[in-house]
Amino acid sequence: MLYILVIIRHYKAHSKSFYLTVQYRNVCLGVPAKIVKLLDKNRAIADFGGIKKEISTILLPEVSTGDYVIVHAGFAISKLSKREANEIIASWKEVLEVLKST
Amino acid sequence: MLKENSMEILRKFRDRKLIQAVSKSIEKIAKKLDYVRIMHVCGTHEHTITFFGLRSLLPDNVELIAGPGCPVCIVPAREVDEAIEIVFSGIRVYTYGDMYRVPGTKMSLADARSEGADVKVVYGFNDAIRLHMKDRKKSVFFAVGFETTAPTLAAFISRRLIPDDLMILPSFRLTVPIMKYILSSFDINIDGIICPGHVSTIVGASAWSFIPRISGIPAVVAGFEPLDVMLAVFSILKMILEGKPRLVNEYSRAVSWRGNITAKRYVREVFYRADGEWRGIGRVKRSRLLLRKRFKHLDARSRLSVSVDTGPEFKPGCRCADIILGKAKPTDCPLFMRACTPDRPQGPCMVSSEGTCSIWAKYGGYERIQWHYD
Ligand code: SF4
Repeated sequence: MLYILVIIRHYKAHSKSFYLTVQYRNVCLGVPAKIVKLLDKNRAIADFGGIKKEISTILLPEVSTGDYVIVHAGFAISKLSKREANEIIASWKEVLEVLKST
Repeated sequence: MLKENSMEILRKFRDRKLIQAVSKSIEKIAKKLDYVRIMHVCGTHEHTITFFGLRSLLPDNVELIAGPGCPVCIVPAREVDEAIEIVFSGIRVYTYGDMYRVPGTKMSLADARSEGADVKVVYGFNDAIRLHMKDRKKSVFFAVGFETTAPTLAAFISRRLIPDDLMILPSFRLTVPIMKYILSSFDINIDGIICPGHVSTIVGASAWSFIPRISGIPAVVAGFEPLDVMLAVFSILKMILEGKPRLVNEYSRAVSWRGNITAKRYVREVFYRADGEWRGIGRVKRSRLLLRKRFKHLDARSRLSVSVDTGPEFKPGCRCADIILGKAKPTDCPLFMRACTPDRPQGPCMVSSEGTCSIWAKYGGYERIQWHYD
């Protein structure tokens, strides 16, 4: 039990810097961001949790302002669906509840 | 700095109570199972697992193995040498920060730069184009990456947006063929697969349906939050217990069944698949992307006629080859954290920030945190 607490504390302390390390150290990773403004030539400004950066939307032409996207090496590659995010958690919660009661 | 409003969609995936509950459920199921080995093939998954200490939240009989998830670690030394030869002939080379320090047979691009060669590190292909438009210098883009990176170039090439005098040196590798290779090689026993989330946004969850069908083991497409990985493990264990291996898409908030159609279309139009060498692994069928004939004028290999000799892929003692395949852990390497550290890397797995050795070195250097705290 103690080690669980230690770990939780460990990642709570680090979680804020997680995306920043990921984003700036690693080129080949994907990070979530929010589209704040569409520009011309398939470009957009994206907000990476406070840091704004220009990205390319050439691989995701249907994107619009306010969307959450996954950005990989400066390119939006996929839209994040809020509904799916909520639903998937709900569906797992049920599974867990069932498990706990058995 | 992770503002609540911008990332609220993700907050739940770090919910401590949920993660604890999953951890407990995993423990319950694992008690009924023998030893379970689960492999992931993504540097970002290894990052999440090590960063959040997830291995410590798993019972002793569940092991998470890092497979070939680092696209720069598996680029053969020979192809690094090609880029180095090009840059020493007076042509500028653009590449990603991870690739910059990976050694070829003699040196890395970083070493070449310290000897005066013109190497520029960029965040993405669009940055390279922007820089190129400004400086207008004959250049080569050393392009590495998996299925996720290839479309970023393919889109620009297909739409004829590549400026003159910018050539491509493609060293892409594909994760779907390497997964088939790993699963068909008999010396690695794996009971479940965590599929790479971001590769899957492009190729679609459907690309992995061969895993349960052909190998008969469960596969879960998972995201990169701690809860994602824990749920993937939970769901793999559950499928093993029930004896019903399937493909589950846990990362449905970003990954669809068919993937990013636009991106796939660009890639198919611009590249073809060829057999490719993987550092430490060998030749893997149809695992590499090369430019199609009609784009040959962009191909640095055919335009500049680069020729390099083959040499050793690894320094003596380095166990990267086994680590890339998940056969060994960094702590099995006698050089790990002794002769080989992030400041003085001896092999590609320590150089790249996505390499398993480097991730372990950065966030602890041991497998389970409680050993450290006990
Ligand atoms: S610790 Fe260094 S020498 Fe050992 S396998 Fe990793 S990269 Fe190679």
